[in-house]
Amino acid sequence: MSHKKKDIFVSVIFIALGVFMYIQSMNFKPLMNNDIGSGFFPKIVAIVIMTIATANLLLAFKNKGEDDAKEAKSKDSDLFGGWVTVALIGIYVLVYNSVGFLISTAAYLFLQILVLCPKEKRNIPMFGVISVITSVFIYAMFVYAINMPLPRGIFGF
Amino acid sequence: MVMEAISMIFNPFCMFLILVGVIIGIIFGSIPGLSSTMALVLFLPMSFGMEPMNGIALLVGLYLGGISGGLISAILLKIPGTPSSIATVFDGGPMADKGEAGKALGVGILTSFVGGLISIFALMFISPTLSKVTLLFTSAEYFSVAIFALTIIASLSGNSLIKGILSGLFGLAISLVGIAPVDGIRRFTFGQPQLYGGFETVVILIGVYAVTDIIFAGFNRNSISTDAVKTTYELKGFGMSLKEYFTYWRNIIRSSLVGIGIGILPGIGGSTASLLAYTAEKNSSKYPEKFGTGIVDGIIASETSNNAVIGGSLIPLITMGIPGNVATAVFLGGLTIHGISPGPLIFEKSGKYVYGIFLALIVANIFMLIFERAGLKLFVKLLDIPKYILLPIVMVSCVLGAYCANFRIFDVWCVFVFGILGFIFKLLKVPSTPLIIGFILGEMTELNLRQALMQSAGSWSIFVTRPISLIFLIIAVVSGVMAVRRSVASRKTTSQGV
Repeated sequence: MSHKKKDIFVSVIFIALGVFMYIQSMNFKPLMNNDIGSGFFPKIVAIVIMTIATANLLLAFKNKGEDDAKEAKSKDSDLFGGWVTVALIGIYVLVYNSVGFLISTAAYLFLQILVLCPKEKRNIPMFGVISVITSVFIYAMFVYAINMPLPRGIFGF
Repeated sequence: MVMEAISMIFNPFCMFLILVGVIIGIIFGSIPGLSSTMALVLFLPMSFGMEPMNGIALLVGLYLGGISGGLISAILLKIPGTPSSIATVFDGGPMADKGEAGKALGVGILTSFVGGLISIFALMFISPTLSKVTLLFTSAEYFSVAIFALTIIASLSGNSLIKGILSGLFGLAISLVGIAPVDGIRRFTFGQPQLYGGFETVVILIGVYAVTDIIFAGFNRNSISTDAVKTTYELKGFGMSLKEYFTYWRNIIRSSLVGIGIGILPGIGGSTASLLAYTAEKNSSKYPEKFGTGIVDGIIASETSNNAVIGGSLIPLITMGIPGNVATAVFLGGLTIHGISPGPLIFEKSGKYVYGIFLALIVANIFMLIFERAGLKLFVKLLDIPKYILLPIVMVSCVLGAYCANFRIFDVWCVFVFGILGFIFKLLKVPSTPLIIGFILGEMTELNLRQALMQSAGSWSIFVTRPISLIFLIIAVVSGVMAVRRSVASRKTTSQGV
């Protein structure tokens, strides 16, 4: 996305947010006589958001594509690694409670290290050992040493 | 109170926590890609479960160690371990090339200690006096202070003032979620009981700082595994005698003052302090041409000033409850969770903790001097641990930290959501620090606004008829106007440059 398009996108999202906040805030009526009520401050914030976002939008249009040239793509940027990382973290937090800390953490660590590590340096047995030892160590520390329960999950550990 | 503080800090467990904090801080500070902020954010939830003083002492150790650790990689890898050590590279790098890496490291550690110590004394003397002034504050003054503090956002916005302001406003918006102050109405909770209490500061911090960084590591995985060339070093003592070190006294004092001043001003931070002190030293030097070729003067300026920021930045936090940077925002979270509310009454209500913080800072500073020097070999070795192993472990700690804040899975999901939000912000070049500042100041702003208006029976003139309030509003306007002018000027230069 070019710089200009990014600016327009940001402005539109924020204007929508401002409108949404303002409409929601109309429901909060003052409960006490001399209080401005719980709707006042959100409305102010919403109005300022809409104003600033509109200003950003106008500035973006005024900017006649001077720096519209596509940003040079960094040769290091790696879409696969990035999206897999996002997915891994997403799945990890989603199953954290149901699968339990030990299994989800060991699996996440192993896969995430595998994704981040360059191919030529891959050492699968070592990654496995690191993942298992780290998870067991953290679990033991929290559950037995400082008495903080961690999610046990479906398997009961 | 002082005696109580002494007995709390000088108990073996508390000392141990400070030591652990300093060492972990140094490790996080020294490894580029892991930041000292990350260390603070990760350990914040853990501090919740501790005795208040122990938890705060741990955070103090992490903060101080984190700032000091950055010099190791700045000198040996020529990459600053934390942004605060950016100017250390200018002379540290060339010194390492000349075979003087050991001397650079030694002097860096020593001068970090001295800068830190001077700023801790400044904190100890300035904050009680300042808090006497803030005793006169009512809601009207606090509202104006909050407005002034919100203008910090302008200086944290980097190149894009408007996007920075939007980010700050977004922070204000999410601070509104949950039960409203004064009348207790539920706002923006969409019937979700999980949202009644609003979002946790620590959850947002972990998401926006740690998770976002890890996602970016995924997108740049080729560059995180490139090995920087590490210089070897030899060092005896601190590389320089104390007598020789103190011949640089002008530099030491000037850089400390720069650091303390920058620390007090909200929103500027260690990297600016180190650059500013470096430039100031260069400009007043008899041999400015030698700067950047590997002279000790540059290291002293940079490392003294960035550690002096520590004491300075705690002054507005303790006396007014204003966090000027992310580290102090984490501190604020740590204090409030234990029922210690910073502000003018802190010396009366929680005096023992304030003196405890002072003592913990001094102890942490001494530990830093001893253990960063003694453990230097080990810290240098740790630079070899590959980041593709470290970052996933950090991620696991992030999720763990979020979970332990309240023991609810909702916070774990929020960490992911805020991580994605931080990621989108970064992609769209919207700065994320203003979001944190806006979020933290949101409640303070609204609560004081409403209380002040109730006090004045709805008359807005209360904010301009009370002198202190008026002064803060004027400063806020001036700082806002200056930020806009700076932004317009930089826009012009960029567009001329295209």
